[in-house]
Amino acid sequence: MKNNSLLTVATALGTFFAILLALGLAVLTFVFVHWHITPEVYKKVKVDMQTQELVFINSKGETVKIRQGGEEEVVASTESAGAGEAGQKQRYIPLPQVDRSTLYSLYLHTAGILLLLFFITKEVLKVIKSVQELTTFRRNNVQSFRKIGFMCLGISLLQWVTSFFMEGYSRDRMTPMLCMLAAFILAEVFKEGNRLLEQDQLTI
Amino acid sequence: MPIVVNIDVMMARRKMSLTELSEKVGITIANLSVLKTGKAKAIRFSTLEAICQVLDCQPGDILEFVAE
Repeated sequence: MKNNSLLTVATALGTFFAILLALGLAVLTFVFVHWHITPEVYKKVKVDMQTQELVFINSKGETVKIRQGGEEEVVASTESAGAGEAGQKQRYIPLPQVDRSTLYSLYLHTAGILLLLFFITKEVLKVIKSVQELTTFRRNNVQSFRKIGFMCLGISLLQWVTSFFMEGYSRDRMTPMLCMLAAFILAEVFKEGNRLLEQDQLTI
Repeated sequence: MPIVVNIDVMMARRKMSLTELSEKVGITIANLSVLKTGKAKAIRFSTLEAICQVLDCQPGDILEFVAE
């Protein structure tokens, strides 16, 4: 194939994205392990609770987690946070006061999604490379699209499971499902393409 | 497949080797082998025409339908 600049750009962007994902996962895991070994280092770290959907600050200035039955559970109080300004007091709480299970769940969820996105990017890069090498309709591309489909399903399941034990968690769950559907359809298209290619190769 | 290629029979009758046929027909020995062993999925009319011309036979002499 003639040097396709669009594919070259896509490969460069994909590689950059994969490196970014791998770095993100490595940094996240390092911080998580480091937090376990030396939690005192993170004592002064404050968490922006307003961006977290699973917990919120009530009128009393307490960090509240909503259970499935609708009952509220106080996780931490900002009274002891000792933040400087009154406005910040409502918003930031120290990391040690954040519910530990929340942090575990968030780590597992984020690491899982980063890992799956990394593998999806690698499979997409494989497909792009095969298109550049004029080996588009090969069996390994069918397998790549199937893998992408299953990994999108994995992301969707991860979000679905997370929404069960992280009340208030609401992420866009339709996108991974649509990506999964598109990947499985593309796998079938490539399977048909491979069948036609093999047939063409055996036409004398 | 119920379609059987009898090209080897015709080649034997005409006392022609695979190399000679491939040279005269203008297709590779590998492709001719695919055709001979019955692995081919399809045959172009142009190929069939060339084979029939070289072997001086009819398409029916080369292709045969055998019910499974």
